[in-house]
Amino acid sequence: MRSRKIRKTITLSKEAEKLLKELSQHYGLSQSELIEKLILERSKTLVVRKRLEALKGLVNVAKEA
Amino acid sequence: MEEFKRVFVSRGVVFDLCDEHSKWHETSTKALEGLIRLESDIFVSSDVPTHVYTYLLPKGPFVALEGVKHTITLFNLVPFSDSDLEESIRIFDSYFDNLLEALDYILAKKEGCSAIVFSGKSPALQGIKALSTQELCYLISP
Repeated sequence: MRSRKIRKTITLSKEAEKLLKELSQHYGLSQSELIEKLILERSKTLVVRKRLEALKGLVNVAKEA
Repeated sequence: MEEFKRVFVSRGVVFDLCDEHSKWHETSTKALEGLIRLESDIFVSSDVPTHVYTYLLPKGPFVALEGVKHTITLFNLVPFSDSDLEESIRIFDSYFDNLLEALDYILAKKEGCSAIVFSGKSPALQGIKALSTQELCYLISP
């Protein structure tokens, strides 16, 4: 099933825009695809961090008197 | 490690985490940490959070609720139906001495997990890799 795409206007600094062009050429992706890939990668890191915190929380709960 | 992309964790492992005096507390904690770092999808039966609540309730309702919140952040919950329970009852004599472990096995297969992790020892199972937390730690330790 194809996921529905959403049009979004974003504002970037000149420097970021230049880097975005360079990166999208380097990886052979459209700028939208590249941004989406970067967001998904960063979100994985966030999920790992949240789950590690939850594990630590559960272990700490076990230590409560 | 593609073989640990979708892993089901039996409830015994979750109780190891909640009980610092459990023999397997450290091992289960290490195994879970390893799976999280591998970015595995980790599943448990949907009744586990309420069991965690009951288990932690003697420490007070606030602590018990904290335990539930951490549990639902940590795991993906797999719901079960009458037929899953009936199937668990049917197979329970063959491989298991505990109905809830049989239910975990049925749910792991239903969810398409490649492995199921047990606390302490793991039974030999068909169609899915069964591991103890110790074995898992050995396989995924850097």
